[in-house]
Amino acid sequence: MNFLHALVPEVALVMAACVLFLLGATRSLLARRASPWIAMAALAFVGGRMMAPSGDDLPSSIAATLMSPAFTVFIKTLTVLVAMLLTLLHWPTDGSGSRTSSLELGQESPEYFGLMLLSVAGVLLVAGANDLILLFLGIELASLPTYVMVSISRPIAVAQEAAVKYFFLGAFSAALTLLGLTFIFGATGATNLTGISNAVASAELHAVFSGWLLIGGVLVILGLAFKLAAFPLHFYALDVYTGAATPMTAFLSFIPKITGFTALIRVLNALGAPVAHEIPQVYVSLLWVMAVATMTIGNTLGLMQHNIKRMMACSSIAHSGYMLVGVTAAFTLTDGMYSENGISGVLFYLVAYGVMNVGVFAVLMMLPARPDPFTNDGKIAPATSAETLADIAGAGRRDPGLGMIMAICCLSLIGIPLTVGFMGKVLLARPALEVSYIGLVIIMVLNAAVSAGYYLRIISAMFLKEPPPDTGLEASSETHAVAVGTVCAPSHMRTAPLMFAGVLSAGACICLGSLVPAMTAVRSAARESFYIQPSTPGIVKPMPPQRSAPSAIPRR
Amino acid sequence: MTELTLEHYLAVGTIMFAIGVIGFMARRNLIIMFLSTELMFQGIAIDLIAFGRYRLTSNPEVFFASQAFVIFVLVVAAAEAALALGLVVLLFRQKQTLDPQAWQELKN
Repeated sequence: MNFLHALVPEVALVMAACVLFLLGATRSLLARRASPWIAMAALAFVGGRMMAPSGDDLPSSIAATLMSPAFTVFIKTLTVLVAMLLTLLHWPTDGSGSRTSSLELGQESPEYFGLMLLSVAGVLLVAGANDLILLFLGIELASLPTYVMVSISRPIAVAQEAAVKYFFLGAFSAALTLLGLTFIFGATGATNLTGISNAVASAELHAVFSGWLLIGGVLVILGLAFKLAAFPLHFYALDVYTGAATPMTAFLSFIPKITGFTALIRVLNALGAPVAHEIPQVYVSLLWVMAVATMTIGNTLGLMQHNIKRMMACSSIAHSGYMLVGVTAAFTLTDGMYSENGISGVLFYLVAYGVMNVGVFAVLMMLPARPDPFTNDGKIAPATSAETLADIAGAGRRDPGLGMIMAICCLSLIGIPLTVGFMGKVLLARPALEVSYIGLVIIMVLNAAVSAGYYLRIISAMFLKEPPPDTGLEASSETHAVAVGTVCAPSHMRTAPLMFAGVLSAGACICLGSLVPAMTAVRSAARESFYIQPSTPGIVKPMPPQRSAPSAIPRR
Repeated sequence: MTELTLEHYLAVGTIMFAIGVIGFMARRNLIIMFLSTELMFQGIAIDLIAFGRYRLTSNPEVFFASQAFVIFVLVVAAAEAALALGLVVLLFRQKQTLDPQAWQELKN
């Protein structure tokens, strides 16, 4: 019964998802109209449970004995809060309203929210998983619904093309991750992460299986790179993010990323930290290279884009790179100690990325689109939102509120002081400096400077450019509306949920960045989530000396 | 005749995985590409069972854990199969082709 008790949040989300799937079968408009409220209620229930203290004696597969339980609670709370913001972004419009929202009542909205809840349940499972099987199932539960969501998010061919691309690469990367997990399991003889950690620390493993263990860890890192949109498997992001509807793009840039980072931290932690076992230098070098390549590629590609959704895809890649800096520093041993700021820096940055990213997409969705660039057989496909720089030209002048939200979020993404993005980057750079990765920090700062190039283009398009008179905002949306046979007034674009989400995230960017109490609250929560580690350098055991030379895990 | 050892089973499983990777990279048919990922999953299942069986005498729990792991892997593979066929059929209806090269609208 304890097992079920611990899984109440996940079970609640899955049950709400089942209710939504049943609602999807009805034709009643009322039932469909209820669907976002049901999703919101389920998320609110789970969020409320996070605040309550949890039971003590949990089974070892979800007990999170390796990581501090605060880590699980932190990830779960963050996921649920951002999922609520994302639900606001997905709020469907009436069929007669604007088409800036991707979802309309009467279409697949209940199914869509059901899939969303399933995906969030997957992230919660990953957050609590202390077992390889549960970890893998959680990753897959978080991923599989997103493939369907991309496909049904827009009723046009590009969305399906994006979904197929995303799915195939996702299946490939899942297989890579699974092979890595298999090798780790085979080498250590345990699926429980605590058991793995103990086995890694014991000497007898290294004689026979160290090679398998090493390959396993590398494969897991590479496979999870897909979830993070990080270097070797980052290239899908541009196409998939563009093909999906705008709110779905926001979903894609956060939920898989937090899944990937949680799983990565958990696996690396089992392979190295808590029993003061040195993590193989190969992993650290690999993470270092991935961090540098991911940041640089993301920002360089970002400079070349004109479509804002493609820019945000590049931004998503680059931000994964920044967070990988924190992960690299967290698992680098200096003087027999792991830096305790590494993981907390990554967790703080996940919060920061979650809020500032949602704000940009909320503003994009409140701006009308020109006729969609992707047309299908000459028909005008339903656009989901403003996508190109031309679409948002002058929008900040016309509507200063939207402009402010966009400006705050973009400045935060760059990392301007007094925004949460700046604090996040400082907290990521600090552990890297503690383990004297000067080069890594310099590359990170340079990258943040380069990234200003494309974020400032968004801001300047909103404020400095005049909207072209002939294809102004109203004109384009009206022609578009006529073309799709709906009445479309600009007032419909600023739906209350979108505005609420935008204001919330912009406010959070400022509050977490410049209000000291709010900032320290999140920071201390993140610091508590640090893994249980040896308190003194003296405990650090040296590597067993009797390892056979060719198959040995390289030392630092 | 030499006895079959852990390495033999791992070799079979990992070769199946490698064939899957090559098929995924080289083939230009969505169904075949999907079958290649299935082949990768099945190769992993063989690896898992082999690792578990290797420790049957020393630690029977590992054996059962590996069996449980494999069953979950098969379930996930089946779920992916259902999803893949649905997505591929949707695409096929639009252009009557399974060639991924025909779908380049996002590359502009």
